[in-house]
Amino acid sequence: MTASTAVAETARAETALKWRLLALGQRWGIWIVLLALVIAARALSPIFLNTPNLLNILAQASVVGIAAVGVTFVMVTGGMDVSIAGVITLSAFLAAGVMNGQDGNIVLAVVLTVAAGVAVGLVNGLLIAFFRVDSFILTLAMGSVLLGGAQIYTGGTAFGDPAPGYTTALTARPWTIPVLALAFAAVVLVGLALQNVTRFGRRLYMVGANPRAAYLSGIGVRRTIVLAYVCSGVAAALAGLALVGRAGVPSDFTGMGLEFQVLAAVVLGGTTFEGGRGGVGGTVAGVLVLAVAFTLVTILGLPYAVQLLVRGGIIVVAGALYVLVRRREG
Amino acid sequence: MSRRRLQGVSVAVLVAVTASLVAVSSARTVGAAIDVKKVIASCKSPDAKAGAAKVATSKYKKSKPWVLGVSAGYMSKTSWIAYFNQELKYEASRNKQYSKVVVLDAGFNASKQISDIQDLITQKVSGIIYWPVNQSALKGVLAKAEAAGIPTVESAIGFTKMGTSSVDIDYYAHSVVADAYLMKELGGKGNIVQVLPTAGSLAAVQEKAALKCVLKHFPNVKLLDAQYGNFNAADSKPVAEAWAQRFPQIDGVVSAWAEQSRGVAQAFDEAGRLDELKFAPANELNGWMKFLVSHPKANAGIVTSPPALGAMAVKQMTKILEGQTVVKGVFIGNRYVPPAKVKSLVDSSKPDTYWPNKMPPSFQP
Repeated sequence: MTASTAVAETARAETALKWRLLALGQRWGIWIVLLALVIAARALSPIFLNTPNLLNILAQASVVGIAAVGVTFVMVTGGMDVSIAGVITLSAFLAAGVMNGQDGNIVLAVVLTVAAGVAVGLVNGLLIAFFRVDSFILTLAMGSVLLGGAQIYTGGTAFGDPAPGYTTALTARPWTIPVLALAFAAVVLVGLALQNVTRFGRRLYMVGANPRAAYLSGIGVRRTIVLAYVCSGVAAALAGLALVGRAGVPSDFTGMGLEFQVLAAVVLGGTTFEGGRGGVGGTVAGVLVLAVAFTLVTILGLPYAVQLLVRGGIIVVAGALYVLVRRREG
Repeated sequence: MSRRRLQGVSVAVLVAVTASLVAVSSARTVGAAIDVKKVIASCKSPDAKAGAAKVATSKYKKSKPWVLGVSAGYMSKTSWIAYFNQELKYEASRNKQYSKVVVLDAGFNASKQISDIQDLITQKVSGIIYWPVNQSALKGVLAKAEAAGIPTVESAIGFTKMGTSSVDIDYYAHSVVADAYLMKELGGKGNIVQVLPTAGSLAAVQEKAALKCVLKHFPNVKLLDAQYGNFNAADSKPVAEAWAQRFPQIDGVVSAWAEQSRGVAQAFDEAGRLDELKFAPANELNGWMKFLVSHPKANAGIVTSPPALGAMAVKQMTKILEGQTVVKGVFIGNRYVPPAKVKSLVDSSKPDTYWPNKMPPSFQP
């Protein structure tokens, strides 16, 4: 082998390694950021990596995480769903109201709550897909309608009574693992299966990447969009059920601000507003980044004002690191 | 005895005497009976004096019938505010001097509340009862109301000295009573944590100050941490989960509000450490009282903050509209109910969000 050939081979190998690393960064970037955050957290607090604390983080992340799985599908299509706070609040009230403190009402409450999530998702999806209403405007308005509906249903107060069996079941820790963490994991697995194994999952990306091309290819664009919003509605309803189980009697504070946490988690996880990219896996990492940030400031016992600063700072740094690690092609 | 040896003995005696004095003063509260009433009396509410000031109201005297305006900063924070609002309406309905009650809900929007009060002024209501989203934001519009001859009664937010008069829970006094009885239950020693309500609120400021005063009497009680629970279980629970990890030994929880206390109880129950804790007497939420009855180890009693405050606000407004001289601040509640008597207040047929009251079914939320 001549010297010039050896140099060319080395350069080719270096380029191949660089592209492999870039591909790794794009695929696993947010997980690398999460790992870095966890290492930093451990350095700051010796108890952070205790098993009970990690399990608490999963339970605390479950409400936002479950809702975020559904919103991921919507955002992959290029849409947005900010009605989730309204769905979560209404679902929590509906579940607690129907249960009314009776274990015998649990099944009915769960069925009705999920049905409500389906109905909201269907209305959102149909209006956006068939009437071309802007998704941000429509879901913002829908969120307001749902909060108003919740106020009418409850008389504007903390309302309902979760069944004792329900809260016992949802706060149980079989094999020390919180049931809510298991529920979160189950929703994630279903989400990953829908995304990676089904035609619906593949269509989400086609519609998000290029709706016109997807339509010309014979893909039911409108049907895909409607189904995405139904998934989001169901996920938000499940999140409301999780919240009632975790915190008990809901109030109007219940869902307040959750839409921003959910959107932040989804975007941090790599699903962009343009659509066509991202996915449930990245969303899970985004959820965990937020949960670690929120928990770390509490574990450190920081004053409240400092907590807000530090939380925001962690999220900014995590987002910036993720961009560095990912390095978009071209 | 040599001079050096004499000096050594003197120092040793001095140290021994000092140590004894320190031990005796500690034993003042440790092991000795705790005089709760003395502790409560020593921590005087900063609002008591200002509240006792007289307010002449003859300029607000109006002919009947009256129209009562209500500017609600919010209606949906907790179940307590819903019962408070109903008590207000019930009292107004019983008093035939009121022909109408106009209720405007600002929904946590301070700007909207200013507009609401301006609307009530335009409607020429006879008087306005209000609870603010942001008390300082209302200063200007309350002055306009009073200039228009419309008296204002503030309620449910703590004594801010604004408005014509105030009918409230004295958060400082409430917390002093709750904290003092917790210290008694703890025997004057141990580690405690504190859950405060909303950051920046008057209640949070006064509860912090109240605990600081009470702890002066209990040098063997250590405050490990204080965080905000926002009056609800969803926010207090993750805080308590972190405490369960950080602190291997916690003996008492200071939280004056039952909904917050529930979140803490849930967190420690899931961590398998509920039996370690005594909870400071919180208020009389039915669900919380059910919990206390079923968990006697955690039960330190309750301190009342009755939603009947709403009815008291109407009664105060009635006096003003009749032209009677009133005091600047009327404070109710703060009645301590010992652990053994909590059971008598529980209504197991009612939901956890129920607050004990005497309203007829048509007025129940």
